[in-house]
Amino acid sequence: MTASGEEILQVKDLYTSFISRHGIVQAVNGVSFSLKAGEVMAIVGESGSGKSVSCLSVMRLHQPHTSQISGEVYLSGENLMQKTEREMQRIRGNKISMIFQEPMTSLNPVYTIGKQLMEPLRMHRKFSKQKAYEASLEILRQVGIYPPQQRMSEFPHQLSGGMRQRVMIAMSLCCNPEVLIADEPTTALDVTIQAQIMDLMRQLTEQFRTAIILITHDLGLARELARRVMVMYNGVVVEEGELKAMFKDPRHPYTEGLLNSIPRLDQKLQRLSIIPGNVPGPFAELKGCRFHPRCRYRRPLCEEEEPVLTEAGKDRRVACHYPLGYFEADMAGGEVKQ
Amino acid sequence: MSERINKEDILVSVRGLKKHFQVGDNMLNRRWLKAVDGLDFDIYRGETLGIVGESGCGKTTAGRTLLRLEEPTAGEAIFEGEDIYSLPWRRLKKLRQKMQFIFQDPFSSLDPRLKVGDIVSEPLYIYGMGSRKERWEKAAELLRVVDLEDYALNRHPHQFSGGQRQRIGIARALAMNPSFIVCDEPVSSLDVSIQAQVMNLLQDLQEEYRLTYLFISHDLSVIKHISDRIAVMYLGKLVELADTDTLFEHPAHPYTRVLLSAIPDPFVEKKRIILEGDVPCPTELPSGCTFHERCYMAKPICSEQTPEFCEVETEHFASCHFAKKILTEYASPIKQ
Repeated sequence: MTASGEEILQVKDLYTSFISRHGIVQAVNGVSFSLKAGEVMAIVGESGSGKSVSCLSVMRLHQPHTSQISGEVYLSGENLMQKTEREMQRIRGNKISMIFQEPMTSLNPVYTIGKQLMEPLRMHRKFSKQKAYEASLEILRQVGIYPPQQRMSEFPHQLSGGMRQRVMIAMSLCCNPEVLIADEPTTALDVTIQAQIMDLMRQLTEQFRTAIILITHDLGLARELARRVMVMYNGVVVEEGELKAMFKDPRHPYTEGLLNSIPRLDQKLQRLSIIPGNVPGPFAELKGCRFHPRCRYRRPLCEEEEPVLTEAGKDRRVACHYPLGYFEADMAGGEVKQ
Repeated sequence: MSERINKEDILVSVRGLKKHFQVGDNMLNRRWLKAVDGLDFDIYRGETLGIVGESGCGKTTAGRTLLRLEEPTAGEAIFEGEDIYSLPWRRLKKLRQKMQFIFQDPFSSLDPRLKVGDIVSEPLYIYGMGSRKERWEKAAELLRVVDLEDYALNRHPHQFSGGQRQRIGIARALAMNPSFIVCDEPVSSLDVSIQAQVMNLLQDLQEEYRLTYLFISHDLSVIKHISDRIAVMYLGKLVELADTDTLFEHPAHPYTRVLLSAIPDPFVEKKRIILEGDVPCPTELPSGCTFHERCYMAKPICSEQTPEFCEVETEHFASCHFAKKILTEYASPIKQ
């Protein structure tokens, strides 16, 4: 099967589980999505919802003997799940690359910035040392690191957090990947630096038409950059669609709860509305809808049967037996469709 | 909200608070890191004063020094008529019953080897109150106040989630019936849905026990939600202090304007102001206004003269040479 039209990345029925001492943890349960060139999609959700794990699975970065991945991942028509580890190494950092959460720990402290930046160019592009050096200087300039010559010979600890994150971005972009996965790229940074990084990423999508998957727990950040958003809860996608429409009019009770629990800048609220209870732990056995114990709209069916992701309006898919909007129709005595 | 606060009744009054740390391991590279460099503010009884700023601006040091968890370099802090910094140890210990601290990290601020009952009742033990049984009864009562069940008493911290642990930390802070609590980033490490629960709890407790909070956070939307007044810090100094609505509707300092424009918000469209560069190294502060190197409005005077932290309009303080100009000429970057 090949990707249709412009679709660069297609993920189908991705399941990831880990084998641990205490049993098997189902971290991702049937996630499917696709991404077009130049598109930015955000994956939002609370910790433990499977955002990072699903993206690491796409890149096949899990330990093979403690994890099981199934499903299909097509990157420009090629199924990554059938590649050997050697072939994957040629793809990672070249066609699909990743910005990791912590810029402090994901750069190698014993190599200079220059060496780390040149490595992917030398490996994937087979650049000569001289050519790789010049290309690295150029990319450092593009991400706004001055003076690049001096920074090339420095070590990660000599750079500030924001600069390290820029270097990470430079590294992940130096081979012009088709897909960039940014896993909480600004979590460890201050708001003013965060604004700089977001601005930089926006420029890059426009310039290189890189498709970006932005993993974040910050709905505000998602709005800054992404046009589409996917909301995850406990390893499944609960709602997906166009971002602005979804934030204005969420269909899944979890999305609504998330949006309502953030303190608003534009409104004065006496109290925040909350989602009761906690995020279920990795070993929680949930029957029916995964969100039902915390859902204030739950009905008997929710405890019995797990809802599947279905179309709910224009450019929107939702996994709920009774998507919001259903109730208004119910109250008004209108037509109820299931 | 306004009934809660009595502006005549100042609970804590801080003047010229400084905390400098010595850095460098030998005589040649010894320098001073001015973590907190001259703070002046009052906290009214019953209010929540929010302190907001980027990492490394001295928010946490300010909170810790205020309660004398660090010895200050200079300054005074009058709490209920007594200067916290000049009190002898014995009297300070007594005064400390009324001042408590909620820590940032719920994972490292609870002793992993103690049971929750012992953690929550430890303040009572330190002050020699009651028998162990009585203390545990009080602990159970406190846990109910923060919406935890009694079974929590006999468990260890690792058996709880982040939000629950933060509740345990709050219960411990309440044990001595304090009147003043410094909350240092109490919700930063929590997920959004849990963050809302903890913030509601803090507000309920404030109503119920007439608490006064100093709420430290880097998150402006959290600060806006919970605070009555907000102080903005940059490199150890206050750059602006005003009540919440004033600060958001017409900020007077360029840095506050930058911060407001930088908050990602899922609902609001904003005009962004993107700053150049990083926060300068705190051991080598720029001359004049410490913000001038990154400021988009800087004029020659800014690198020469340090602006005074003064009242630009009633109850609205700012330290910028152009504060009055900004107030009259610029609108807030956030559309209300």
